[in-house]
Amino acid sequence: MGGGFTRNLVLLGLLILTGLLFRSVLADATLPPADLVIANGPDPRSLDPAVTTAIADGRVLSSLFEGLLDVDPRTLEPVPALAATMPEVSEDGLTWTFAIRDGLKWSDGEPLDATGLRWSFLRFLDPSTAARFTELLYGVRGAKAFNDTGDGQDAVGIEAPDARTLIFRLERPVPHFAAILTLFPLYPVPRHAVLRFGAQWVKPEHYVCNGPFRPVFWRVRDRIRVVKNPHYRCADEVALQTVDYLCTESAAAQLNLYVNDRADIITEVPTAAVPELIRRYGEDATGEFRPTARLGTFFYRINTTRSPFTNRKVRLALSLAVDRQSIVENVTRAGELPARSLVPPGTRCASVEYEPPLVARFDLARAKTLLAEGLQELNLTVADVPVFEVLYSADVVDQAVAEVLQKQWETLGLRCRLVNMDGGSIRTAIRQLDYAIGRSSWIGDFNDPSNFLELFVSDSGGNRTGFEDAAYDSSITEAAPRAASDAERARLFRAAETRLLAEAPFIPIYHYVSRSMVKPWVRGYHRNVLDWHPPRWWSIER
Amino acid sequence: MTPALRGLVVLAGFVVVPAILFWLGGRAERSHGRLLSFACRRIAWLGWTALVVFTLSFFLMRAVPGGPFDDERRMAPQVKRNLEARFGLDRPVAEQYLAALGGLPSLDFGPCMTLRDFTVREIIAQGLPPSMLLGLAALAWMLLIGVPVGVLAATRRGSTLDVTLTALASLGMAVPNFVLAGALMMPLVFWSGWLPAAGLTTVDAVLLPSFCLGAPFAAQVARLVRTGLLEVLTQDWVRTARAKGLSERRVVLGHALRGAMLPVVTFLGPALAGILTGSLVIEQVFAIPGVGTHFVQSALNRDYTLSLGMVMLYTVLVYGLNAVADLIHGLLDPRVSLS
Repeated sequence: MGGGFTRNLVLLGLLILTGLLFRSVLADATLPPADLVIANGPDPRSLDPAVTTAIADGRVLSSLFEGLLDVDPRTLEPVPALAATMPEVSEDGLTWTFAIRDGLKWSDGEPLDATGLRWSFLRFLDPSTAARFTELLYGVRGAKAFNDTGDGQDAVGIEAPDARTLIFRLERPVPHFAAILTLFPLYPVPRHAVLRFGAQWVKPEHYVCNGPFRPVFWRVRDRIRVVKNPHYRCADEVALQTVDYLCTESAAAQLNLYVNDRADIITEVPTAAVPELIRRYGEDATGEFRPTARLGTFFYRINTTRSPFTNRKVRLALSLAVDRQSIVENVTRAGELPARSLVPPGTRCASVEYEPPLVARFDLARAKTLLAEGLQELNLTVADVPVFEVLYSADVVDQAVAEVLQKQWETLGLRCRLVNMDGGSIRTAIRQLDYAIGRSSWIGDFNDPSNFLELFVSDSGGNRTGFEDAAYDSSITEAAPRAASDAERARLFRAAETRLLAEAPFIPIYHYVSRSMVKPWVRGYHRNVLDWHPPRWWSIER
Repeated sequence: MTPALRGLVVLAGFVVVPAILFWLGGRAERSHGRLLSFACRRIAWLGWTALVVFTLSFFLMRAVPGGPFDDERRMAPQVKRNLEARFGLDRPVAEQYLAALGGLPSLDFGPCMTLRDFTVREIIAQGLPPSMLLGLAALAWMLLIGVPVGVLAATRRGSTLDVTLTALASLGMAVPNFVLAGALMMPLVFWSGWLPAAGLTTVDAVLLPSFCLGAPFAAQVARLVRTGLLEVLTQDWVRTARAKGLSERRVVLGHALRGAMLPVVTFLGPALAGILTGSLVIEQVFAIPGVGTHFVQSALNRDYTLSLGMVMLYTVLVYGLNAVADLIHGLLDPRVSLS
């Protein structure tokens, strides 16, 4: 066989293949640019609200849907959306009646009414939907039983007596029920499309929604493009025609896109760049990078079932030996607040601001005394404490924080080994109580202390520390929801959190800030503690 | 036919069909020549390799702690049961294995567990073209830079140019592609604005990522060509060619280079494998919607179906590309027997 001929053939084949590839990959290169581009982080889990979980999912969905109630991005108060007015709540707090707006339409022009909304809520609870956050509705009568077994759909306390009335009957008072109804997993889905297309209804070509935009296409790891929905009830107020949600996970790539003017909003920046970004884009410069407090806490869980951490004083000593100020100043550097509580400052009990109780500041001398006392109660000395493991994730900040902790605990005479694990392995280890100390975090979904404090209720799946306190449980799940006023509720929460902090099943480290960057020409992007920015208000003013 | 039964049939097929091919390959050697025999045997080995890799990955993924539905949030037991039932994870592992294996011949790896709106096949079909484009462009950089640099260095042996190029090549091999990416982005993207920073929407967006991906391999090719050419140039037939009055250009480019390219062809297999795995990082840095990032992310997310799909894709690619490199090598060098 002639070598030259074969070689030419191979080369020709390669050339043709490359040409075809260029064609197929870059066919969309002629895509008209979107009015606004936001780098949104990883691909959403789904465009079906019921099965979504992550904040990045919620950001995309907030452009596609509108719930019964919506959040005002300036005040963070729930405001009427599909509901015409705020709900009427019965005296005992158990019956919530919503008047639904007249003339609502899905993005395909089909009418949207209370019956359809009821169907959507029941679908959310149906076990075959396999929705992730069904617990949000467990306050509704019969909801948990239906979600558990798939039986008793008719017994669920969601009623639509006519096309414009939707009634929720609750099992127990849920003071923050209005806030729950603003959350993205509860956005309504279109019955007609779901029944017609089954699991395929989420494909952009079949997709039906009710928000300011509707999706045109989704290219994995590239972007989701949405265009204005003419059937949206406030379509006149929506300024943008097209928005691109870039599925760009890497913070460095996000920043590059931003600096290169290919993205108008980015949601994350690399930690290493933070000081430089503050200098160049901070409050005193262009104001494009202004990290603002958000409702989220980074903390370490302590396994309270493992000696010597069974002892409260030992746990407190660990917490006291952490110099949080130094961590936020030298590691995170974007103006994070040192955390001395679980519930972040800025959390509200509806009309009343919640003031969290605070753990003592960094105090090495007291930490040493407490540790000695605690170990004595266990008949141990510092030398008896075995080397324990600290689990952290493969993130630069996480690693730096873990190293600081290791060093600071060393000054107490405690030795620990840092174990780097991926997120999934850490969560499994923590869930199975197969750990000593491990990193954790919690980001608030809605603005209410219960969102954080319910984590440490004994039978809560979020506890995972072995901490159990019946008095704490009952004040969070029984007393607080029945409190006569917001102020009383805040007081009960505060007392409960004080108990929790005194037991120290976890070590708060810092409260998160949102690290988004927004171009100066973007209007209607209101920075707030929930880091929640409904796209219907966005516009561009150059 | 139940999925488990289909799985059993496929399992048997994966053992028997390659064996038949192997046997046919042996017979073809005598009657139809080495090319067909080579192809038969390689495909047979691919079948067995695929089965072993599939089985190992399937059970390894499940042996790793954690599952696809673990997250920080609390989860009611029923919610978890609902999710597991949705993806068939409530079945015995053996049954899951057979069901997964049953889909292999039709490239059906099932629904993706993390990107719930897509099947694994849809995700691979979307991500493969950008990755292949990136890989081919990197390959082009590798040859376009590596070969001329190697020739230059060999023909000017010992000169300042040779020393400089050899040093640069060593440096190129040592610098990781993402460092190179960072270093090149400053002048080419941010200072001059010539190239886009990320994404893959325009033709020029391919240039920088593929260069960063291909450069370390170009350095290696340059070294191989230089060494190979130096060796060839000392041989008697080269002296004869020169004595016959051929120009140096014709001696080097027309005759000697062909022999010097053989090590490069051998290197193609490992290079392609390296380009494939190197693209994991480059795709992330340049936000290219390829399959590379899925390879790592799916394992971290415990996305059983997607990770299995990705492992099989890489197995077939690496194996197939190596076979092609061997084939080319065999065709270029009559001394190599294809077996």
